[in-house]
Amino acid sequence: MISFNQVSLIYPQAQKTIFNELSFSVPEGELLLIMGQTGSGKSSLLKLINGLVPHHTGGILSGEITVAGRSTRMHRPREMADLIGIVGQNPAEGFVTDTVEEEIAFGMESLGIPRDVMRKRVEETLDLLGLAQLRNRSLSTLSGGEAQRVAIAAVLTMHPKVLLLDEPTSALDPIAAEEVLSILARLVHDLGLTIIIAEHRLERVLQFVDRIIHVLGDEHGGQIRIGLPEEIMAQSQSAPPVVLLGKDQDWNPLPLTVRDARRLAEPLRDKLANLSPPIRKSSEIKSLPLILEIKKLVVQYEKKVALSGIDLEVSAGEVVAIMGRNGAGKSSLLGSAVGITPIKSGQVLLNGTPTNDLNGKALISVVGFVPQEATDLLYGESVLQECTFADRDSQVAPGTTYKILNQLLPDISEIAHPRDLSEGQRLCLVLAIVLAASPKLLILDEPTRGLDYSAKLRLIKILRAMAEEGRSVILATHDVELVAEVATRVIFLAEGEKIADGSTLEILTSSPAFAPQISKILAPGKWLTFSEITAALEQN
Amino acid sequence: MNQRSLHPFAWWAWGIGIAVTASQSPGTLALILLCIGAAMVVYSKKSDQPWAKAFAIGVRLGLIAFAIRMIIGITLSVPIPGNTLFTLPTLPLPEWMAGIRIGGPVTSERLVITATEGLTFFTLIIAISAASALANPKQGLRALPGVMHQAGVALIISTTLIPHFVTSIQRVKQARRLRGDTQRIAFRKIAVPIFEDSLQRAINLGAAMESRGYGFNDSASGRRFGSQILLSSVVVITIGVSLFLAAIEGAAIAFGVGVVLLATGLLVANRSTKRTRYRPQVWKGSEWVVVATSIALISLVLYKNESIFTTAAIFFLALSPLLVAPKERQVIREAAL
Repeated sequence: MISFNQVSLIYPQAQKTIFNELSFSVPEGELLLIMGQTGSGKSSLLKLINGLVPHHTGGILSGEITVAGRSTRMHRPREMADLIGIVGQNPAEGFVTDTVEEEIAFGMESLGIPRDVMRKRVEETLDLLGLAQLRNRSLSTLSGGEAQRVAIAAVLTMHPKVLLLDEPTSALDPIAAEEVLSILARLVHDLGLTIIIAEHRLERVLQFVDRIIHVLGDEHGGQIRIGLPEEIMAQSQSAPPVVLLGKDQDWNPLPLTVRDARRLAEPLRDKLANLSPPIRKSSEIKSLPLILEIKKLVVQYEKKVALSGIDLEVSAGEVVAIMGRNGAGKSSLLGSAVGITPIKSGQVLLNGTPTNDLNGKALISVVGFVPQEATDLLYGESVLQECTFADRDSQVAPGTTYKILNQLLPDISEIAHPRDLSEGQRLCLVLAIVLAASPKLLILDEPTRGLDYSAKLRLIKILRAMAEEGRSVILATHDVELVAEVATRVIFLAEGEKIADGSTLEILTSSPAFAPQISKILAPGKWLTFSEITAALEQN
Repeated sequence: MNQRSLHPFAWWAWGIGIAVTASQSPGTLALILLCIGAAMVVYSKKSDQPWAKAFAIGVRLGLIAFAIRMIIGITLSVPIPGNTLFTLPTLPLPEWMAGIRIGGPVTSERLVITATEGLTFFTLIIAISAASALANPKQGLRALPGVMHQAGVALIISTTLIPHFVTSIQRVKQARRLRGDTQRIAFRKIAVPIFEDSLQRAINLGAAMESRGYGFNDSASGRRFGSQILLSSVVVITIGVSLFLAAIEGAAIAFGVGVVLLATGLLVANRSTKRTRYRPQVWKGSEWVVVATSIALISLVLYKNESIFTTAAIFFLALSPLLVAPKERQVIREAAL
């Protein structure tokens, strides 16, 4: 279906070899995963297949890529539209029309498909993706998971043979992600579609894929590794917890799913039955001073109530994870804690002072905020300029921010434009800026979206170190593995209400959708992370 | 089935009808009535879509234009004899600028003429902004022939991006608070990120449209030929309009040639692209009524003198969409988080 023949790609300005002489082919009906570090070229590989690279982005390409016999050299992306559907990282940015139904029909209109056929396909696709109730909705009101499904529907109506998806689940909560992935699996089985997914959240997609392409990036000379999931996972440093556990225990065959691992884990469960997981310091914290105090907080947007009467207290040294569906009110809660979300009633006290009375230096020395899109906080034109701004705003000695940045990320170029950094590098830059004022409380909104495993490990270390120093952290996230690693306390929001608040262990193990892989494998044992197990086994 | 909205081209015909009528000096009362009529139609037929805000912006713009016209009319103009109300100090000007003067006596005649001209400006702006507030720009674009592919891409991108502009500004403001930036607002610090943001979005949207087959069936040569003809038709029609406004003969001929060119261009264009419409914007009786009243409006003002009867007729003709147009289709939109 898809064949790469001696394909090389370089971006001359970046002086980076993205790909060097790739040759491989993808048969019809395969579900292929592309993995690799951020900035290694996963998105470029997807865009090569439909010709957006280099037709739309520039870059120098050699070799030949054909899809069903059509070469991207001879055909522009729009001439491949009947063959290939592509859904970008942020599907809402690619919406052209106003309503769901119009959006789904847009591609077919361009292809010149007769009206009666269009009518039929729109109905079929609405049913296939469960979008029938949303057909008249304005696109701007869709949640993340809905937008993702609409974007998939919009390309499916063109009856493509190949579907390309760039990080389809990274912005979604576990349940919405599951929904999207099972739809993709169904498309492969029922329609014989060839699907290629680029994704960081391996723990979510691994069970669905037939083969993996591991993009090794510039350091490895633009090579890739392609193979069955077990082969690739056996060699890869980045792997979900289930694979790490499997490797550590020398399980054979290497388990890729919780189900496989559970069958192999019986001896381990017995061994761990006599050991107890390390105690997370959540109970001793209660006596420490309060950093954040939220009382009866109500946030309302026009007609929609985002938060209805939330109470929350965070003490020094706590790491609080806020979880819940897309649109449950997580971002509103974080935003009102720093005073960027207007509150309707209630009170938000930071270190005893109402948030809205704090400004400038007084604000940032209490609270540091890392927004969902790290770029939202950046307005400088180079890394160095950002650091200078941060030094001035936090009133610290010149060079302080850059020093912090260097600890987080030793090899960053100071003249690089912040927008050219990879997602992980950008997060480090924003963290350095925020930490320059040494805030007592750090708030992160969905920090691991777009982060690979190594960047995530670095983040985990930073957050743990902060908690050690007695500072507090609040993070809103869908990433249960991250929560399992760092959080001392978990809060669940639903429809603007707090529905659960308790220790990480208690909350995560009680909910099947939000349980981390390790706890699913070792249930009923109360284990959350791979590192807990290795530590406990070593002590014994 | 939802309530349908009037075809965007019908709204534009209505708006242009009012604008042309206003430009033909139908009298102060008629101008005021035209403005009131346009406002009535907008407020009863507008949707809750972002472009509906165009009218409010238009009113503000119109007021500014009116004020500027008044200031210029009072301070700088050819002397008009008549009943002097007050005298402004005169600024001496060099010999060669004789005929123009700054300051000097202000007569009531001059005030009236200036105010009427200002009002004409105001009405023109109101008419155009009313049409753009009512016509769905995206549906209008899709009714355009495929020849205008590149223009279509550009227009879709810009109409999609305008609402995002507001969010971009908000984001930068929030970032300044979050970073404790208390310095005075620097233009560069706000403009650069917003510009980058918009550019990034525009590129992404362009890529999305490209990979979803926008322009899939266009034949390049036919498109080029078609757009050349269309472009020349626009030039010829513009010449016709200027001749007409300047009351020079030959306007009718220019119009005729322009329309023939336009028709040919559209024909060539449509043959070179194959696009279909899922729910085509229908052109039914109500659209014809609106266009007909619009033509009646223009002919009335061209051939009838200023009279109370004409003025009343103008007002009622301008209100025609109130009777025939269905209310804009409401799309379900609650505040998204």
